[in-house]
Amino acid sequence: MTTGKLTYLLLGLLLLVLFILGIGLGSADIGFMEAIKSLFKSADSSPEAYIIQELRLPRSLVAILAGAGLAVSGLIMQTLFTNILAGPHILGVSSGASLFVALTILAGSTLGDMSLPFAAILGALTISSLILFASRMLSSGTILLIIGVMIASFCSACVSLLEYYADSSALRSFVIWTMGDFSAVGKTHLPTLAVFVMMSVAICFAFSKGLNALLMGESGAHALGFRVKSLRTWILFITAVLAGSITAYCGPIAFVGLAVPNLVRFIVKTANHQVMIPLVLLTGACFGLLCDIISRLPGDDRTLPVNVASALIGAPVVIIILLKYQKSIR
Amino acid sequence: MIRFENAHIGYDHDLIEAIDFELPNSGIIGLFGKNGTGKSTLFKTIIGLQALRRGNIFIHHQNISEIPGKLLAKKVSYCPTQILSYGNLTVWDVVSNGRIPHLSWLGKLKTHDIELVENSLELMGISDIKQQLISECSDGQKQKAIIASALAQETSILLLDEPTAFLDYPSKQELLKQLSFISEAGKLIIVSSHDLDLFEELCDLKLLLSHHKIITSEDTDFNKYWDEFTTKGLAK
Repeated sequence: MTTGKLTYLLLGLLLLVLFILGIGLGSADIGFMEAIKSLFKSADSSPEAYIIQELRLPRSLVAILAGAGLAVSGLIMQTLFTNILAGPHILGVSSGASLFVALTILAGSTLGDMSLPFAAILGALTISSLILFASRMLSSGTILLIIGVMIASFCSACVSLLEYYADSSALRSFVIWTMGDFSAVGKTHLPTLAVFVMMSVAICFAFSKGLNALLMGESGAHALGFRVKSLRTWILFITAVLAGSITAYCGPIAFVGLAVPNLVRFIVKTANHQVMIPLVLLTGACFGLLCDIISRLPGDDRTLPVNVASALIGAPVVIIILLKYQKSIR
Repeated sequence: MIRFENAHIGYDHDLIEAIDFELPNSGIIGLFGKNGTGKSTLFKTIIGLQALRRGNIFIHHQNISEIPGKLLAKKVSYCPTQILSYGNLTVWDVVSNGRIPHLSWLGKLKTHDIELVENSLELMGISDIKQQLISECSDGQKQKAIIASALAQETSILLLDEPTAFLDYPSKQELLKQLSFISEAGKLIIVSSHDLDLFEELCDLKLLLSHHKIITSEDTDFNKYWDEFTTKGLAK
């Protein structure tokens, strides 16, 4: 128990440090102490307070929500497919969300419209149902992942086709969105994103008994009192809401869902979701903040796309996972 | 106690027809038969995973079709032949999952649950590897973890689907001892196996799946079917 509490404490501290770094770094030179003080002032009191409260704080909070939410959705998908290489991005779920968002943006919606999260959730749901259907016919996890990658490519091709025929202003806003961005959400849409993420994560946690049962196989879970089909459908729906809503607001962000749960597997030796979900949540939040900080490293007005940062950290992690878990990957 | 009443079992056609008998409250029941005769399907039907094609099955006088899943999970546990090695799934995780039907909705293990998990690990002789990953376990260790999980489920009926399939000879002998110990505690164990020589002596009752029927060792023509089954070289 003590090591468990220590892990939470250390992750909590790391999150705090990254949060302070996140609000302290940026093109305007505001010291860390000043940044912390500005959190408690009114936004109108000084230009620094305005920058912190209107720009950097929402952005850091979005990074926390998106990182945590994507990481949890990755963990749940991994359980659903009993494959530690599953995740919203690799299975094409994010691409499905992107395609539906592209259709909506290119049809005239702008970022922030409520139509976007719903389109993204619908897209995510469509692809994850397709993947779940495919997984029922396959015994090989490798084939499933390749099908996911193919679906992702197919969706990307459809998106490119849409881009080709789009007018330049819609195209620009869409292309920027695909690169991943925590700042576009802003203070106005932050509460909506927060509601989507926090509710879905809470529901995932409430499902932890069922998620644990799924690890016993289909008949095993049934013998523990679960109706596996309806359990799978509910869980799939929640992961689609998580991955879809985050994709709608921040763009298709790669690697978080795949890398974070596996990073946590290096820290704790259990598959119990009651332990895993909170830890994945915290680590995902840290990962999101870290990506945000890296994306702002150039130091001037320019920022790197979040996807560049997440791939820079995520890709090596995934390679290490592959090497470590080669035995248990089918 | 399990009672079958004109039960027809199978998927799109009957694998086993008109089962009509009653099993006792405790003891070891051996379930034998060629591959594909419906041993696993029978188990899946008892836990409600596969619907009956016709007839009824009663557990403690209650029709299984009327018992909610959560309640059935407190009466019957089922051990599949194998378990997936997934990520950081440990022996402890597998065994403690057996407690799921008894936990509150948040699923936190209480002191009593932890004791039961420890006891089950002890009984199966795998306490020393409880923190080991399933992916690092031998097939025999995995098998023991699955059975320990079913024990932790605290049911009066245990269904074991080919528990000896992946075990070496000493482990098989050991498992047999553990099974008779468990049945002496007043549990009913139904075990399917191809290890006839091992189970023949141990079983209180033998069930043979043949010609789309279940013939029990109490039936008069049992020996005829049993000889046909064993001498054709199909067993073992």
